[in-house]
Amino acid sequence: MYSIAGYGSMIADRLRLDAYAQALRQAVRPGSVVVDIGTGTGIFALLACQFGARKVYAIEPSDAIQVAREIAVANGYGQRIEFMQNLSTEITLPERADVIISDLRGVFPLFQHHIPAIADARQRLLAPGGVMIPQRDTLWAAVVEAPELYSRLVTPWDENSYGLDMQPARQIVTNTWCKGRVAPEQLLVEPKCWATLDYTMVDSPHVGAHVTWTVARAGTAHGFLLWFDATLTDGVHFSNTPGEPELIYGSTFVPLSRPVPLAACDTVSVVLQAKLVGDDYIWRWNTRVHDCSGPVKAHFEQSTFYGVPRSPARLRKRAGNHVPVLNEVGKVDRLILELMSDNLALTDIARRISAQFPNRFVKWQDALARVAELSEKYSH
Amino acid sequence: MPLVTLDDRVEFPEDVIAQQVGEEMVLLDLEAGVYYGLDPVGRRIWELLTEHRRLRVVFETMVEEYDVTPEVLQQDLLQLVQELQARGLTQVVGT
Repeated sequence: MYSIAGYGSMIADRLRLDAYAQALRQAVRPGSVVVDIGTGTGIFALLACQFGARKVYAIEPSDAIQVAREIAVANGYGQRIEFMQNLSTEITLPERADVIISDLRGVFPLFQHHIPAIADARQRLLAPGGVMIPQRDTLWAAVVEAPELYSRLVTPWDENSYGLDMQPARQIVTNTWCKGRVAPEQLLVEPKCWATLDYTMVDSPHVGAHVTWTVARAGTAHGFLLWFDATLTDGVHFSNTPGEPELIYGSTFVPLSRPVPLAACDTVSVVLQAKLVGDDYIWRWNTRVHDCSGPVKAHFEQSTFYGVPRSPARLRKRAGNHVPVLNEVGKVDRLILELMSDNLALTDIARRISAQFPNRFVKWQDALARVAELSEKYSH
Repeated sequence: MPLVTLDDRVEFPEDVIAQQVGEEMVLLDLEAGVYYGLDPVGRRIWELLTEHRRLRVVFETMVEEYDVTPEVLQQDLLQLVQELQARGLTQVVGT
């Protein structure tokens, strides 16, 4: 979830906001019904009213929606915007929308449940002939020479003035990606489109492609740069291409296991895959570099799966073949949830929890924080 | 599902990735979004399967490495491979 200041940064990106405003102005007609998914502080919902929408349903799971409500009232739109604090996949509407607008991307469109939410909204909330904003995102990739970005990742683990071997950490960081920017001259190949997310029809959140480049100029490959171009609606676009003015999204640097010197006419081939597992994407990039005469001069198999330090004990408990036994915290939470069905106030529940688990909660006030936490999450 | 024998060999689905964690192995089935854990012996079996593919080679290697009767080892090996196949983590093919 973003902070209010974070939402402010998104609004301050005028290129992005102006493009969204233009798309909305084109799509909204007098009497239109608009759905704003992930409304945040409500800017798209407010603009929709300004452009003539009859009704706006503004959906936002975080408490930022309280700020959006106040802003709507301050601008005279309190009656036209209905705020719904929930996930869009959990709500139903009394009418279908003429326009669905959203920006659920993180740095990159492949972010948490963005695509499933869009697909669900399109199927359940959009009127026949309705408009999706954005319409589609085009994903691009290029091999880049980026010594500064690469050094930022590996230098703390490669160069240790105390003679310490820190390589296990290097293994982790070269299996992660980071936000990073390069200049156009740092591209060693022509960018290639590796996927298109058409929000008017996409269903699967999983994306993958096999991309091959012939190296355009000699240099050292440190990794791949990924970015996206957006088509919000017909004729309204923005781009995160290197060299274009920087937007809030930026671009993503995906490192190689080690830098690889490249000659012009070498080929670089990568199988790039992003799969949504649970709430996050697992990325894989399997890279082969062939020199001009054919032999493989580098082969790496990398994944964000390898980029997370793991505790055997914690992982064991997540495995499909694990048979769990509740620990004391689990027993506490189970009892709290059971007592929530008994028409008791939180303080009464806390007293019973404290009585049942006196070593953990010496006073009932100590238990109240946990009871309140579960009440917020699980009660109406 | 036919029973696995030492004459079989295995293939691995593209969507299964593995990482050693301590002495154990964690497998992730990207398609199903499910994790599986292998204890140290299971980890060794997985390593040998990925290296050799043929169950008889895995068996003969492990007979040399572990202080256990061949009969018990064969039963444990085939049982694990059967379970991995049932969960879609390997594909058993006949020779």
